[in-house]
Amino acid sequence: MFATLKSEFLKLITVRSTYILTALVLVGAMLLSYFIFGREQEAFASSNPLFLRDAMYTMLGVFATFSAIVAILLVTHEYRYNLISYTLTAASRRSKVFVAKAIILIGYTLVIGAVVAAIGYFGAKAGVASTGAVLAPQDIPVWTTIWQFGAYAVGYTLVGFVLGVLLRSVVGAIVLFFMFPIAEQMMGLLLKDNTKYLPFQALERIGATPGSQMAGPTTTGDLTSLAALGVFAIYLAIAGIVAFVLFVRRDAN
Amino acid sequence: MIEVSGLSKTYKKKPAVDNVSFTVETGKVTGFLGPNGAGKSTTMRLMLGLDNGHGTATFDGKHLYEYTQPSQIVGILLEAKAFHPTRTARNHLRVLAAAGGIADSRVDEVLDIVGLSDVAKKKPGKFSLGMSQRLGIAAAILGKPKYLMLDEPANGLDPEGIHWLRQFIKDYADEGNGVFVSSHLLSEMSQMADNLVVIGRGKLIAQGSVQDIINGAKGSTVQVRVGKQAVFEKALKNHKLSFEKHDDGLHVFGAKTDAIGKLAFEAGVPVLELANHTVSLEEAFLEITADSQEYRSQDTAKGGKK
Repeated sequence: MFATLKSEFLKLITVRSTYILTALVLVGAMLLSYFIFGREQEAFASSNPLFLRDAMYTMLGVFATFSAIVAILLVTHEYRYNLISYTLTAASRRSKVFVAKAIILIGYTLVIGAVVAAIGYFGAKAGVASTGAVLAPQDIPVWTTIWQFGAYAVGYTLVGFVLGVLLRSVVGAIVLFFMFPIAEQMMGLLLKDNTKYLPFQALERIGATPGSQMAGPTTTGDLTSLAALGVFAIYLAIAGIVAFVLFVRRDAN
Repeated sequence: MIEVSGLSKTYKKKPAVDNVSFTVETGKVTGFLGPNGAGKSTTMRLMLGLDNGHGTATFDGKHLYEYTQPSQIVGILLEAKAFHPTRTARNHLRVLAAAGGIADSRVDEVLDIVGLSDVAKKKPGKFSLGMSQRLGIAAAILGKPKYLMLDEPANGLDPEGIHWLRQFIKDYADEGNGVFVSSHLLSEMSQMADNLVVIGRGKLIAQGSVQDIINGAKGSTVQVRVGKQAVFEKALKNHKLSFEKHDDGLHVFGAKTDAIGKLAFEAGVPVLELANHTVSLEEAFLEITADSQEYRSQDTAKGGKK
Protein backbone atom coordinates (compact mmCIF):
# COMPACT_ATOMS: atom_id res chain seq x y z
CA MET A 1 0.00 0.00 0.00
CA PHE A 2 2.87 2.36 0.80
CA ALA A 3 4.20 1.94 -2.75
CA THR A 4 0.81 2.89 -4.22
CA LEU A 5 0.51 5.86 -1.87
CA LYS A 6 3.97 7.08 -2.84
CA SER A 7 3.14 6.73 -6.52
CA GLU A 8 -0.12 8.65 -6.18
CA PHE A 9 1.64 11.35 -4.16
CA LEU A 10 4.28 11.69 -6.86
CA LYS A 11 1.56 11.89 -9.51
CA LEU A 12 0.00 14.79 -7.63
CA ILE A 13 3.16 16.79 -7.09
CA THR A 14 4.84 16.22 -10.44
CA VAL A 15 2.31 17.89 -12.71
CA ARG A 16 2.04 21.57 -13.44
CA SER A 17 -1.74 21.77 -12.95
CA THR A 18 -1.48 21.02 -9.22
CA TYR A 19 0.93 23.90 -8.72
CA ILE A 20 -1.00 26.32 -10.89
CA LEU A 21 -4.31 25.59 -9.18
CA THR A 22 -2.77 25.69 -5.71
CA ALA A 23 -0.91 28.93 -6.43
CA LEU A 24 -4.10 30.51 -7.77
CA VAL A 25 -5.94 29.58 -4.59
CA LEU A 26 -3.20 30.86 -2.29
CA VAL A 27 -2.81 34.16 -4.12
CA GLY A 28 -6.58 34.48 -4.46
CA ALA A 29 -7.05 33.82 -0.74
CA MET A 30 -4.48 36.50 0.12
CA LEU A 31 -6.11 39.09 -2.08
CA LEU A 32 -9.70 38.23 -1.19
CA SER A 33 -9.14 38.02 2.54
CA TYR A 34 -7.17 41.26 2.69
CA PHE A 35 -9.03 43.45 0.24
CA ILE A 36 -12.57 42.08 0.12
CA PHE A 37 -12.93 40.79 3.65
CA GLY A 38 -10.50 42.94 5.61
CA ARG A 39 -10.91 46.31 3.94
CA GLU A 40 -14.50 46.20 2.72
CA GLN A 41 -16.34 44.60 5.63
CA GLU A 42 -15.49 46.96 8.47
CA ALA A 43 -19.07 47.02 9.74
CA PHE A 44 -19.15 43.27 10.18
CA ALA A 45 -15.61 43.20 11.51
CA SER A 46 -16.35 45.49 14.39
CA SER A 47 -19.51 43.69 15.46
CA ASN A 48 -19.14 40.05 14.50
CA PRO A 49 -17.36 37.72 16.95
CA LEU A 50 -17.16 35.14 14.15
CA PHE A 51 -15.85 37.52 11.52
CA LEU A 52 -12.52 35.75 11.08
CA ARG A 53 -14.25 32.38 10.98
CA ASP A 54 -16.39 33.66 8.14
CA ALA A 55 -13.28 34.90 6.37
CA MET A 56 -11.68 31.48 6.66
CA TYR A 57 -14.85 29.74 5.54
CA THR A 58 -15.17 31.91 2.45
CA MET A 59 -11.56 31.29 1.49
CA LEU A 60 -12.08 27.57 2.02
CA GLY A 61 -15.09 27.75 -0.27
CA VAL A 62 -12.84 29.02 -3.03
CA PHE A 63 -10.22 26.39 -2.24
CA ALA A 64 -12.81 23.59 -2.14
CA THR A 65 -13.74 24.23 -5.75
CA PHE A 66 -10.09 24.09 -6.79
CA SER A 67 -9.35 21.01 -4.70
CA ALA A 68 -12.25 19.24 -6.40
CA ILE A 69 -10.72 20.13 -9.76
CA VAL A 70 -7.31 18.85 -8.61
CA ALA A 71 -9.06 15.59 -7.66
CA ILE A 72 -10.80 15.38 -11.01
CA LEU A 73 -7.50 15.94 -12.82
CA LEU A 74 -5.62 13.37 -10.73
CA VAL A 75 -8.12 10.71 -11.74
CA THR A 76 -9.13 11.65 -15.26
CA HIS A 77 -5.63 12.43 -16.54
CA GLU A 78 -4.78 8.77 -15.97
CA TYR A 79 -7.43 7.85 -18.51
CA ARG A 80 -6.76 10.76 -20.84
CA TYR A 81 -3.08 9.89 -21.14
CA ASN A 82 -3.56 6.11 -21.00
CA LEU A 83 -1.60 5.79 -17.78
CA ILE A 84 -4.30 3.83 -16.04
CA SER A 85 -3.16 0.56 -17.65
CA TYR A 86 0.28 1.01 -16.13
CA THR A 87 -1.08 2.07 -12.76
CA LEU A 88 -3.37 -0.92 -12.51
CA THR A 89 -0.80 -3.41 -13.78
CA ALA A 90 1.71 -2.23 -11.18
CA ALA A 91 -0.78 -2.62 -8.35
CA SER A 92 -1.79 -6.09 -7.29
CA ARG A 93 -5.26 -4.81 -6.39
CA ARG A 94 -7.27 -2.07 -8.04
CA SER A 95 -8.86 -1.27 -4.70
CA LYS A 96 -5.44 -0.18 -3.45
CA VAL A 97 -5.20 2.42 -6.19
CA PHE A 98 -8.68 3.73 -5.44
CA VAL A 99 -7.99 4.04 -1.72
CA ALA A 100 -4.51 5.51 -2.25
CA LYS A 101 -5.84 8.22 -4.55
CA ALA A 102 -8.52 9.14 -2.00
CA ILE A 103 -6.00 9.25 0.87
CA ILE A 104 -3.55 11.43 -1.04
CA LEU A 105 -6.30 13.82 -2.08
CA ILE A 106 -7.61 14.06 1.48
CA GLY A 107 -4.07 14.76 2.68
CA TYR A 108 -3.60 17.46 0.04
CA THR A 109 -6.93 19.04 0.97
CA LEU A 110 -6.19 19.12 4.70
CA VAL A 111 -2.69 20.56 4.29
CA ILE A 112 -3.47 23.20 1.68
CA GLY A 113 -6.87 23.84 3.28
CA ALA A 114 -5.15 24.64 6.58
CA VAL A 115 -2.83 27.07 4.81
CA VAL A 116 -5.75 28.71 3.02
CA ALA A 117 -7.68 29.03 6.28
CA ALA A 118 -4.66 30.60 7.93
CA ILE A 119 -4.31 33.04 5.03
CA GLY A 120 -7.99 33.88 5.39
CA TYR A 121 -7.60 34.50 9.09
CA PHE A 122 -4.49 36.66 8.97
CA GLY A 123 -5.36 38.34 5.66
CA ALA A 124 -8.73 39.52 6.93
CA LYS A 125 -7.20 40.61 10.23
CA ALA A 126 -4.50 42.58 8.43
CA GLY A 127 -7.08 44.11 6.09
CA VAL A 128 -9.24 45.29 8.97
CA ALA A 129 -6.19 46.68 10.76
CA SER A 130 -5.18 48.58 7.64
CA THR A 131 -8.50 50.47 7.65
CA GLY A 132 -8.07 51.52 11.25
CA ALA A 133 -11.29 49.75 12.29
CA VAL A 134 -11.40 47.79 15.52
CA LEU A 135 -12.06 44.09 15.15
CA ALA A 136 -14.71 42.77 17.51
CA PRO A 137 -13.37 40.29 20.09
CA GLN A 138 -13.42 36.97 18.26
CA ASP A 139 -15.00 33.92 19.81
CA ILE A 140 -14.20 31.04 17.46
CA PRO A 141 -14.90 27.50 18.67
CA VAL A 142 -11.58 26.03 17.57
CA TRP A 143 -12.21 22.30 17.48
CA THR A 144 -15.70 22.61 16.06
CA THR A 145 -14.37 24.90 13.38
CA ILE A 146 -11.54 22.50 12.56
CA TRP A 147 -13.78 19.49 11.99
CA GLN A 148 -16.44 21.45 10.17
CA PHE A 149 -13.96 23.08 7.83
CA GLY A 150 -12.06 19.84 7.36
CA ALA A 151 -15.21 17.91 6.48
CA TYR A 152 -16.40 20.69 4.19
CA ALA A 153 -13.18 20.89 2.16
CA VAL A 154 -12.62 17.12 2.09
CA GLY A 155 -16.25 16.71 1.04
CA TYR A 156 -15.71 18.84 -2.04
CA THR A 157 -12.49 17.03 -2.89
CA LEU A 158 -14.17 13.66 -2.65
CA VAL A 159 -17.02 14.84 -4.86
CA GLY A 160 -14.41 15.69 -7.49
CA PHE A 161 -12.70 12.34 -6.97
CA VAL A 162 -15.91 10.35 -7.30
CA LEU A 163 -17.02 12.31 -10.37
CA GLY A 164 -13.61 11.70 -11.94
CA VAL A 165 -13.81 7.97 -11.34
CA LEU A 166 -17.40 7.75 -12.56
CA LEU A 167 -16.94 9.77 -15.74
CA ARG A 168 -13.23 9.25 -16.55
CA SER A 169 -13.41 12.41 -18.64
CA VAL A 170 -11.79 15.70 -17.63
CA VAL A 171 -14.36 17.88 -19.31
CA GLY A 172 -17.35 15.73 -18.38
CA ALA A 173 -16.43 15.62 -14.70
CA ILE A 174 -15.68 19.35 -14.44
CA VAL A 175 -18.88 20.30 -16.24
CA LEU A 176 -20.94 18.01 -14.04
CA PHE A 177 -19.21 19.36 -10.93
CA PHE A 178 -20.30 22.89 -11.78
CA MET A 179 -23.71 21.88 -13.08
CA PHE A 180 -24.72 19.99 -9.95
CA PRO A 181 -25.09 22.99 -7.61
CA ILE A 182 -26.98 24.88 -10.32
CA ALA A 183 -29.29 21.92 -10.79
CA GLU A 184 -29.85 21.85 -7.05
CA GLN A 185 -30.78 25.52 -7.04
CA MET A 186 -33.37 24.78 -9.70
CA MET A 187 -34.65 21.77 -7.83
CA GLY A 188 -35.03 24.04 -4.83
CA LEU A 189 -37.96 25.69 -6.59
CA LEU A 190 -39.79 22.38 -6.35
CA LEU A 191 -38.46 21.03 -3.09
CA LYS A 192 -38.63 24.30 -1.15
CA ASP A 193 -37.68 23.53 2.49
CA ASN A 194 -36.49 20.05 1.59
CA THR A 195 -33.71 21.55 -0.53
CA LYS A 196 -31.48 21.18 2.52
CA TYR A 197 -31.47 17.43 1.92
CA LEU A 198 -29.74 17.80 -1.41
CA PRO A 199 -26.03 16.93 -1.41
CA PHE A 200 -24.43 20.29 -2.21
CA GLN A 201 -26.86 22.18 -0.01
CA ALA A 202 -25.94 19.87 2.83
CA LEU A 203 -22.25 20.15 2.06
CA GLU A 204 -22.41 23.94 2.15
CA ARG A 205 -24.19 23.77 5.49
CA ILE A 206 -21.44 21.69 7.14
CA GLY A 207 -18.99 24.55 7.46
CA ALA A 208 -21.40 27.50 7.59
CA THR A 209 -21.39 29.48 10.81
CA PRO A 210 -24.73 29.19 12.59
CA GLY A 211 -25.97 32.62 13.53
CA SER A 212 -23.24 34.41 11.63
CA GLN A 213 -24.19 37.52 9.73
CA MET A 214 -22.10 36.30 6.80
CA ALA A 215 -23.58 32.84 6.61
CA GLY A 216 -26.67 33.93 4.80
CA PRO A 217 -30.27 33.68 5.96
CA THR A 218 -30.86 31.00 8.53
CA THR A 219 -34.23 29.36 8.57
CA THR A 220 -35.54 27.55 11.58
CA GLY A 221 -35.47 24.27 9.68
CA ASP A 222 -31.78 24.44 8.77
CA LEU A 223 -29.71 21.35 9.43
CA THR A 224 -27.03 21.42 12.08
CA SER A 225 -23.47 20.86 10.80
CA LEU A 226 -23.53 17.29 12.03
CA ALA A 227 -26.89 16.53 10.42
CA ALA A 228 -25.73 18.17 7.20
CA LEU A 229 -22.61 16.02 7.30
CA GLY A 230 -24.81 12.96 7.73
CA VAL A 231 -27.00 13.87 4.76
CA PHE A 232 -24.00 14.60 2.54
CA ALA A 233 -22.20 11.45 3.70
CA ILE A 234 -25.12 9.30 2.57
CA TYR A 235 -24.95 10.73 -0.95
CA LEU A 236 -21.17 10.48 -1.02
CA ALA A 237 -21.21 6.90 0.28
CA ILE A 238 -23.67 5.80 -2.41
CA ALA A 239 -21.76 7.53 -5.20
CA GLY A 240 -18.46 6.34 -3.72
CA ILE A 241 -19.55 2.71 -3.65
CA VAL A 242 -20.75 2.89 -7.26
CA ALA A 243 -17.46 4.56 -8.26
CA PHE A 244 -15.44 1.94 -6.37
CA VAL A 245 -17.27 -0.97 -7.95
CA LEU A 246 -16.89 0.51 -11.43
CA PHE A 247 -13.22 1.29 -10.86
CA VAL A 248 -12.52 -2.25 -9.74
CA ARG A 249 -14.61 -4.06 -12.32
CA ARG A 250 -14.78 -2.22 -15.57
CA ASP A 251 -12.25 -2.26 -18.39
CA ALA A 252 -9.31 0.02 -17.70
CA ASN A 253 -9.61 2.41 -20.62
CA MET B 1 6.18 -19.45 -18.76
CA ILE B 2 3.09 -17.42 -19.55
CA GLU B 3 0.18 -19.73 -20.16
CA VAL B 4 -2.86 -18.25 -21.83
CA SER B 5 -5.95 -20.39 -21.80
CA GLY B 6 -9.31 -19.76 -23.41
CA LEU B 7 -9.16 -15.98 -23.45
CA SER B 8 -12.37 -14.51 -24.79
CA LYS B 9 -13.97 -11.11 -24.93
CA THR B 10 -17.04 -9.85 -26.69
CA TYR B 11 -17.80 -6.27 -27.73
CA LYS B 12 -21.45 -5.63 -28.48
CA LYS B 13 -22.07 -9.31 -29.22
CA LYS B 14 -19.11 -9.42 -31.61
CA PRO B 15 -16.24 -11.60 -30.40
CA ALA B 16 -13.05 -9.54 -30.18
CA VAL B 17 -11.05 -12.42 -28.76
CA ASP B 18 -12.41 -15.91 -29.15
CA ASN B 19 -11.06 -18.74 -27.01
CA VAL B 20 -7.40 -17.96 -27.60
CA SER B 21 -4.79 -20.19 -25.95
CA PHE B 22 -1.01 -20.14 -26.30
CA THR B 23 2.18 -20.06 -24.31
CA VAL B 24 5.08 -17.65 -24.06
CA GLU B 25 8.30 -19.37 -23.10
CA THR B 26 11.17 -17.92 -21.14
CA GLY B 27 14.45 -17.45 -22.96
CA LYS B 28 12.60 -16.82 -26.20
CA VAL B 29 11.04 -13.98 -28.11
CA THR B 30 7.45 -14.76 -29.02
CA GLY B 31 6.05 -12.63 -31.80
CA PHE B 32 2.36 -11.79 -31.79
CA LEU B 33 0.98 -11.26 -35.27
CA GLY B 34 -2.40 -10.52 -36.69
CA PRO B 35 -4.08 -8.15 -39.12
CA ASN B 36 -5.47 -4.81 -37.90
CA GLY B 37 -8.44 -5.42 -35.65
CA ALA B 38 -7.44 -9.03 -35.06
CA GLY B 39 -7.59 -8.59 -31.29
CA LYS B 40 -3.88 -8.41 -30.43
CA SER B 41 -4.11 -5.44 -28.07
CA THR B 42 -7.28 -6.78 -26.48
CA THR B 43 -5.57 -10.13 -25.92
CA MET B 44 -2.66 -8.39 -24.22
CA ARG B 45 -5.02 -6.36 -22.04
CA LEU B 46 -6.94 -9.50 -21.10
CA MET B 47 -3.67 -11.21 -20.17
CA LEU B 48 -2.90 -8.32 -17.82
CA GLY B 49 -6.37 -8.27 -16.31
CA LEU B 50 -7.02 -4.76 -17.63
CA ASP B 51 -10.11 -5.80 -19.56
CA ASN B 52 -12.87 -8.07 -18.43
CA GLY B 53 -13.36 -11.30 -20.26
CA HIS B 54 -13.16 -15.03 -19.92
CA GLY B 55 -10.20 -17.35 -19.69
CA THR B 56 -6.97 -17.16 -17.76
CA ALA B 57 -3.42 -15.97 -18.16
CA THR B 58 -0.88 -17.18 -15.64
CA PHE B 59 2.69 -16.07 -15.17
CA ASP B 60 4.73 -18.97 -13.84
CA GLY B 61 1.52 -20.60 -12.68
CA LYS B 62 0.06 -17.61 -10.88
CA HIS B 63 -2.30 -14.85 -11.91
CA LEU B 64 -0.70 -11.45 -12.05
CA TYR B 65 -2.85 -10.19 -9.18
CA GLU B 66 -1.43 -12.90 -6.95
CA TYR B 67 1.99 -11.24 -7.03
CA THR B 68 2.66 -8.47 -4.54
CA GLN B 69 4.91 -6.63 -7.00
CA PRO B 70 3.55 -7.34 -10.50
CA SER B 71 6.01 -4.84 -12.04
CA GLN B 72 8.79 -7.26 -11.22
CA ILE B 73 6.99 -10.05 -13.06
CA VAL B 74 5.83 -8.31 -16.20
CA GLY B 75 6.83 -5.05 -17.84
CA ILE B 76 4.44 -3.59 -20.36
CA LEU B 77 4.43 -1.21 -23.28
CA LEU B 78 0.88 -0.91 -24.52
CA GLU B 79 0.82 2.61 -25.92
CA ALA B 80 3.67 4.75 -27.14
CA LYS B 81 2.47 8.02 -25.67
CA ALA B 82 1.25 6.84 -22.30
CA PHE B 83 2.53 9.67 -20.16
CA HIS B 84 1.41 13.01 -18.78
CA PRO B 85 2.80 15.59 -21.21
CA THR B 86 3.92 18.02 -18.51
CA ARG B 87 5.48 15.47 -16.16
CA THR B 88 9.18 15.13 -16.94
CA ALA B 89 10.46 11.85 -18.33
CA ARG B 90 12.34 11.16 -15.10
CA ASN B 91 9.32 11.96 -12.94
CA HIS B 92 7.13 9.79 -15.15
CA LEU B 93 9.44 6.87 -14.44
CA ARG B 94 9.65 7.78 -10.74
CA VAL B 95 5.86 7.54 -10.52
CA LEU B 96 5.89 4.09 -12.12
CA ALA B 97 8.89 2.98 -10.07
CA ALA B 98 7.16 4.00 -6.86
CA ALA B 99 4.04 2.06 -7.86
CA GLY B 100 6.15 -1.04 -8.33
CA GLY B 101 8.17 -0.61 -5.15
CA ILE B 102 11.29 0.05 -7.21
CA ALA B 103 14.11 2.33 -6.02
CA ASP B 104 14.55 5.72 -7.69
CA SER B 105 18.13 4.80 -8.62
CA ARG B 106 16.75 2.33 -11.16
CA VAL B 107 15.10 5.23 -13.00
CA ASP B 108 18.45 6.69 -14.00
CA GLU B 109 19.69 3.24 -15.01
CA VAL B 110 16.82 2.62 -17.41
CA LEU B 111 17.03 6.13 -18.84
CA ASP B 112 20.64 5.37 -19.62
CA ILE B 113 19.77 1.98 -21.16
CA VAL B 114 17.26 3.51 -23.58
CA GLY B 115 19.44 6.52 -24.32
CA LEU B 116 17.19 9.19 -22.84
CA SER B 117 19.45 10.45 -20.05
CA ASP B 118 19.97 13.76 -21.81
CA VAL B 119 16.26 14.50 -21.90
CA ALA B 120 15.42 13.07 -18.47
CA LYS B 121 14.30 16.46 -17.20
CA LYS B 122 12.38 17.36 -20.32
CA LYS B 123 8.61 17.14 -20.56
CA PRO B 124 7.73 14.32 -22.94
CA GLY B 125 4.76 16.10 -24.50
CA LYS B 126 6.93 17.11 -27.43
CA PHE B 127 8.92 13.88 -27.69
CA SER B 128 9.01 12.24 -31.11
CA LEU B 129 7.25 8.90 -31.46
CA GLY B 130 10.61 7.16 -31.34
CA MET B 131 11.60 8.90 -28.11
CA SER B 132 8.19 8.10 -26.64
CA GLN B 133 8.70 4.44 -27.50
CA ARG B 134 12.07 4.49 -25.77
CA LEU B 135 10.47 6.04 -22.71
CA GLY B 136 7.82 3.32 -22.82
CA ILE B 137 10.49 0.65 -23.00
CA ALA B 138 12.30 2.26 -20.08
CA ALA B 139 9.07 2.04 -18.10
CA ALA B 140 8.62 -1.60 -19.07
CA ILE B 141 12.04 -2.67 -17.82
CA LEU B 142 11.98 -0.63 -14.61
CA GLY B 143 11.27 -3.64 -12.42
CA LYS B 144 13.70 -5.93 -14.27
CA PRO B 145 10.67 -8.10 -15.00
CA LYS B 146 10.87 -11.72 -16.04
CA TYR B 147 8.44 -11.06 -18.87
CA LEU B 148 8.05 -8.18 -21.26
CA MET B 149 4.84 -7.55 -23.16
CA LEU B 150 5.37 -4.99 -25.89
CA ASP B 151 2.64 -3.83 -28.22
CA GLU B 152 4.13 -2.48 -31.46
CA PRO B 153 7.35 -1.25 -29.82
CA ALA B 154 9.06 -0.53 -33.15
CA ASN B 155 6.43 2.01 -34.26
CA GLY B 156 8.10 5.32 -34.98
CA LEU B 157 11.64 4.13 -34.40
CA ASP B 158 14.29 5.09 -36.92
CA PRO B 159 16.54 2.36 -38.41
CA GLU B 160 19.09 2.80 -35.63
CA GLY B 161 16.29 2.60 -33.09
CA ILE B 162 14.87 -0.55 -34.67
CA HIS B 163 18.31 -2.14 -34.71
CA TRP B 164 18.78 -1.22 -31.07
CA LEU B 165 15.32 -2.53 -30.15
CA ARG B 166 15.87 -5.83 -31.96
CA GLN B 167 19.16 -6.40 -30.18
CA PHE B 168 17.73 -5.29 -26.87
CA ILE B 169 14.79 -7.69 -27.12
CA LYS B 170 16.98 -10.61 -28.17
CA ASP B 171 19.46 -9.91 -25.37
CA TYR B 172 16.63 -9.63 -22.85
CA ALA B 173 15.30 -13.03 -23.88
CA ASP B 174 18.80 -14.52 -23.91
CA GLU B 175 19.09 -13.61 -20.24
CA GLY B 176 16.35 -16.15 -19.57
CA ASN B 177 13.37 -13.80 -19.76
CA GLY B 178 10.29 -14.15 -21.92
CA VAL B 179 9.42 -11.45 -24.42
CA PHE B 180 5.99 -11.27 -26.00
CA VAL B 181 5.97 -8.67 -28.74
CA SER B 182 3.41 -7.65 -31.30
CA SER B 183 4.47 -5.93 -34.48
CA HIS B 184 3.40 -5.24 -38.01
CA LEU B 185 6.99 -5.21 -39.17
CA LEU B 186 7.18 -8.79 -40.36
CA SER B 187 10.75 -8.57 -41.56
CA GLU B 188 11.70 -7.39 -38.09
CA MET B 189 9.71 -10.19 -36.53
CA SER B 190 11.39 -12.80 -38.69
CA GLN B 191 14.77 -11.58 -37.47
CA MET B 192 13.76 -11.18 -33.87
CA ALA B 193 11.22 -13.83 -32.90
CA ASP B 194 11.82 -17.47 -32.05
CA ASN B 195 8.15 -18.36 -31.84
CA LEU B 196 5.02 -16.85 -33.30
CA VAL B 197 1.42 -16.60 -32.25
CA VAL B 198 -0.88 -15.55 -35.09
CA ILE B 199 -4.47 -14.46 -34.57
CA GLY B 200 -7.15 -13.24 -36.92
CA ARG B 201 -10.67 -12.02 -36.16
CA GLY B 202 -10.00 -12.83 -32.53
CA LYS B 203 -9.16 -16.47 -33.16
CA LEU B 204 -5.86 -18.27 -32.92
CA ILE B 205 -4.71 -19.12 -36.43
CA ALA B 206 -1.26 -20.53 -35.86
CA GLN B 207 1.44 -20.87 -33.26
CA GLY B 208 4.85 -22.42 -33.37
CA SER B 209 8.38 -21.57 -34.32
CA VAL B 210 8.91 -19.02 -37.07
CA GLN B 211 10.39 -21.72 -39.29
CA ASP B 212 7.47 -24.09 -38.73
CA ILE B 213 4.99 -21.41 -39.66
CA ILE B 214 6.93 -20.48 -42.80
CA ASN B 215 7.34 -24.13 -43.77
CA GLY B 216 3.66 -24.76 -43.12
CA ALA B 217 2.61 -22.11 -45.58
CA LYS B 218 1.36 -23.50 -48.89
CA GLY B 219 3.86 -21.44 -50.81
CA SER B 220 6.76 -23.36 -49.26
CA THR B 221 7.99 -26.06 -51.65
CA VAL B 222 10.94 -28.30 -52.29
CA GLN B 223 12.45 -27.61 -55.67
CA VAL B 224 13.92 -30.78 -57.22
CA ARG B 225 15.52 -31.45 -60.62
CA VAL B 226 15.99 -35.13 -61.42
CA GLY B 227 17.31 -37.30 -64.22
CA LYS B 228 14.20 -39.42 -64.88
CA GLN B 229 11.40 -36.92 -64.29
CA ALA B 230 8.51 -39.13 -65.44
CA VAL B 231 9.52 -41.89 -63.04
CA PHE B 232 9.87 -39.46 -60.23
CA GLU B 233 6.49 -37.84 -60.94
CA LYS B 234 4.92 -41.28 -60.64
CA ALA B 235 6.71 -41.85 -57.34
CA LEU B 236 5.41 -38.52 -56.01
CA LYS B 237 1.88 -39.39 -57.07
CA ASN B 238 2.17 -42.76 -55.36
CA HIS B 239 3.09 -40.91 -52.16
CA LYS B 240 0.19 -38.49 -52.70
CA LEU B 241 2.51 -35.50 -52.88
CA SER B 242 1.31 -32.64 -55.02
CA PHE B 243 3.71 -30.80 -57.26
CA GLU B 244 4.00 -28.30 -60.06
CA LYS B 245 6.24 -28.40 -63.11
CA HIS B 246 8.53 -25.41 -63.59
CA ASP B 247 11.50 -24.60 -65.77
CA ASP B 248 13.84 -25.36 -62.89
CA GLY B 249 12.27 -28.77 -62.20
CA LEU B 250 9.43 -29.85 -59.93
CA HIS B 251 8.13 -27.86 -56.98
CA VAL B 252 6.81 -30.33 -54.42
CA PHE B 253 4.36 -29.16 -51.77
CA GLY B 254 4.15 -30.33 -48.19
CA ALA B 255 7.45 -32.15 -47.97
CA LYS B 256 10.97 -31.55 -46.72
CA THR B 257 14.19 -31.92 -48.70
CA ASP B 258 15.35 -35.03 -46.84
CA ALA B 259 12.06 -36.85 -47.58
CA ILE B 260 12.26 -35.92 -51.27
CA GLY B 261 15.90 -37.05 -51.46
CA LYS B 262 15.01 -40.36 -49.86
CA LEU B 263 12.05 -40.83 -52.22
CA ALA B 264 14.25 -40.20 -55.25
CA PHE B 265 16.82 -42.67 -53.98
CA GLU B 266 14.14 -45.34 -53.45
CA ALA B 267 12.77 -44.71 -56.95
CA GLY B 268 16.25 -45.03 -58.44
CA VAL B 269 16.12 -41.49 -59.79
CA PRO B 270 19.31 -39.42 -59.89
CA VAL B 271 18.89 -36.08 -58.14
CA LEU B 272 20.52 -33.20 -59.98
CA GLU B 273 19.32 -30.38 -57.78
CA LEU B 274 17.43 -30.27 -54.50
CA ALA B 275 16.54 -27.11 -52.60
CA ASN B 276 14.07 -25.68 -50.18
CA HIS B 277 11.99 -22.94 -51.70
CA THR B 278 10.53 -21.19 -48.65
CA VAL B 279 8.23 -18.22 -48.62
CA SER B 280 9.02 -15.15 -46.56
CA LEU B 281 7.30 -14.60 -43.25
CA GLU B 282 5.29 -11.88 -44.92
CA GLU B 283 4.02 -14.28 -47.60
CA ALA B 284 3.26 -16.90 -44.99
CA PHE B 285 1.46 -14.33 -42.85
CA LEU B 286 -0.64 -13.07 -45.75
CA GLU B 287 -1.55 -16.60 -46.67
CA ILE B 288 -2.60 -17.80 -43.22
CA THR B 289 -4.47 -14.61 -42.42
CA ALA B 290 -6.09 -14.24 -45.83
CA ASP B 291 -9.51 -15.12 -44.45
CA SER B 292 -9.05 -13.01 -41.35
CA GLN B 293 -8.22 -9.64 -42.85
CA GLU B 294 -10.88 -7.30 -41.60
CA TYR B 295 -9.58 -4.20 -43.34
CA ARG B 296 -7.62 -4.66 -46.56
CA SER B 297 -6.90 -2.85 -49.75
CA GLN B 298 -8.17 -4.03 -53.13
CA ASP B 299 -4.76 -5.32 -54.21
CA THR B 300 -4.27 -7.33 -51.03
CA ALA B 301 -7.77 -8.68 -51.31
CA LYS B 302 -7.04 -9.92 -54.82
CA GLY B 303 -3.71 -11.32 -53.66
CA GLY B 304 -5.38 -13.18 -50.87
CA LYS B 305 -7.63 -14.98 -53.31
CA LYS B 306 -4.76 -16.31 -55.38
